Amino acid sequence: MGHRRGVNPRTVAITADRVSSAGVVIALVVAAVLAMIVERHFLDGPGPTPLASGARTIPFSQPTGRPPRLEDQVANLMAGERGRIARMIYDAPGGTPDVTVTRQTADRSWVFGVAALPVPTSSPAMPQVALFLAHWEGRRWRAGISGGEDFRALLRVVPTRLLPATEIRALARFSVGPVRIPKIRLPWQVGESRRADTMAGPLAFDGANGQVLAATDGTIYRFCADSADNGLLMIINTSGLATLYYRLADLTRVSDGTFVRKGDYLGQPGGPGTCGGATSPTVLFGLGQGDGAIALSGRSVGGWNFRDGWAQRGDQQVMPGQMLSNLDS
Amino acid sequence: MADSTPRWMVPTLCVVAPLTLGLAATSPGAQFAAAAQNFLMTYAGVFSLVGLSISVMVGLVATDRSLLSIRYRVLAQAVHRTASTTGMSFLLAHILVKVLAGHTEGPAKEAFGVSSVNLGVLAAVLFTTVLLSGIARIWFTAGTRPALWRGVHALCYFAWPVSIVHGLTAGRPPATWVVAGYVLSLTFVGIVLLNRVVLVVQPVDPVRAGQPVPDPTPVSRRRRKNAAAAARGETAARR
Repeated sequence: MGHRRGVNPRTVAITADRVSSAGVVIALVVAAVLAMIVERHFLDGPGPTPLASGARTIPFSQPTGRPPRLEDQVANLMAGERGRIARMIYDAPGGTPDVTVTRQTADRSWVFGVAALPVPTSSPAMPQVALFLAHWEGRRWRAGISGGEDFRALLRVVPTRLLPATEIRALARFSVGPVRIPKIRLPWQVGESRRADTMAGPLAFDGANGQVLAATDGTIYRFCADSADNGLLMIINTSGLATLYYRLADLTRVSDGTFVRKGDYLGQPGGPGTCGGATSPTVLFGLGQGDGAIALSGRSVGGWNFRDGWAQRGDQQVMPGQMLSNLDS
Repeated sequence: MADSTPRWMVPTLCVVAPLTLGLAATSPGAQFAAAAQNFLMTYAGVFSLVGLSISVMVGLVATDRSLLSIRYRVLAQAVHRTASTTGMSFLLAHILVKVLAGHTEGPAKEAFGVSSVNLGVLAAVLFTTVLLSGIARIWFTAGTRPALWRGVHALCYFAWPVSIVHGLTAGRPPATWVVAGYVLSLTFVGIVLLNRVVLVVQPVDPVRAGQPVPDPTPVSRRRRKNAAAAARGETAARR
């Protein structure tokens, strides 16, 4: 060998072997953990995942369904994130938030639902509503209401077993605001007219015993449903725009999360105000996005351009109390 | 290949595999699996990208005779193998937990007009090809096609930037230092690669007609040949 310069070749060989073995050990550990995860996936049956497998055995000791206090957490979120705007719109503080879980995964670690801030009886305003998404993270719920960052973050990781991919896309747009405004009809039969009582904020119209119909395509959600017949309906279009319909009776029987078409039957006018508000025979119709209402003013609906409290079409103007015809096919 | 498998691996596997599967069926095992799954959901992709980045950079340095002596190149190759094994293990974990969670079907962000998830799939396929070529290296180099092996293995220089774009765009928004780190790494690899290309394609003195053609036999074989000739010469002289 003669001279030995630099690192001893034997040391080099031993070190290289050790370094290579470290890679094999890491690969074996990862493989073992993956085997456990896959085994739990099959043992737990169909259900969503992160935490799905453990969630069944760890935190959910309650024999009947959801762990407690999620509704309280969402109610606090509603009061915190929407309370101030509700007070401005209602001219009074809103009531106790109405929170309903509408969907959950088999292991109950992912939950989706609706929430509303009831309107005081002194106010004719459209109720403040929001969707919520919650995930059990081992010790606590991570919950977010539409329009908030938590809702958007949860939406990015929600399993498609809870929400179909198309619905997730629409909700993602709804949460940040619609990407475009689709063509919107007035919510009654095309060619017929209804008396528009107010057009500032939402449109309040006299139903005149006619059916209330969907103004856009989209996924349907119901709020403040005290029975199958009554409640507030919201339809979220794939663009992310929501249309809201309040004080309906004899509601459509399609279940929450169903995709309805423009012009489909939604209900009859004259329903009770299950989300609170002043008693009125009129139907409220409004536009919305994740964090609240979108003003009708400046939008084109049913062939009419809505202004601040009135509607215009060419030379024609419709003032509050006058008949508004649904001209858009 | 059998020589490179550590002797302890098979007995360890025989013990660890049934133990793991048995543990997963218990309640603490379920808790562990759930926590591990949650951890891998967040970090498997990061570990995979970091591992593969180290693998690409160290692998490139290990090929450069002007930078490292033979002994350090041997060490660098060991680090390259370990980083590749680690990166690919976490890549498998990343894909598995994301598919189990149904996140491959949700809305994907876009990078350069392409779905970021699809970029990840492309990078995974390319890296798998590169890994297989690494495992089959002996088969290629022992034959007559070392250039083919180099070509296939060099796919990593395409897969790596694609995986970085996927990593920076598909999940959580990255911190500035993370982006800066990857940009620096890409620049470093670009410079070393350029250096390598320049060294390989530098012009050589052409041999003109009439000049003696240099002996193409490798030096080591020439030495052996000379030694054998010298030995024969000595024997002949004794006779």
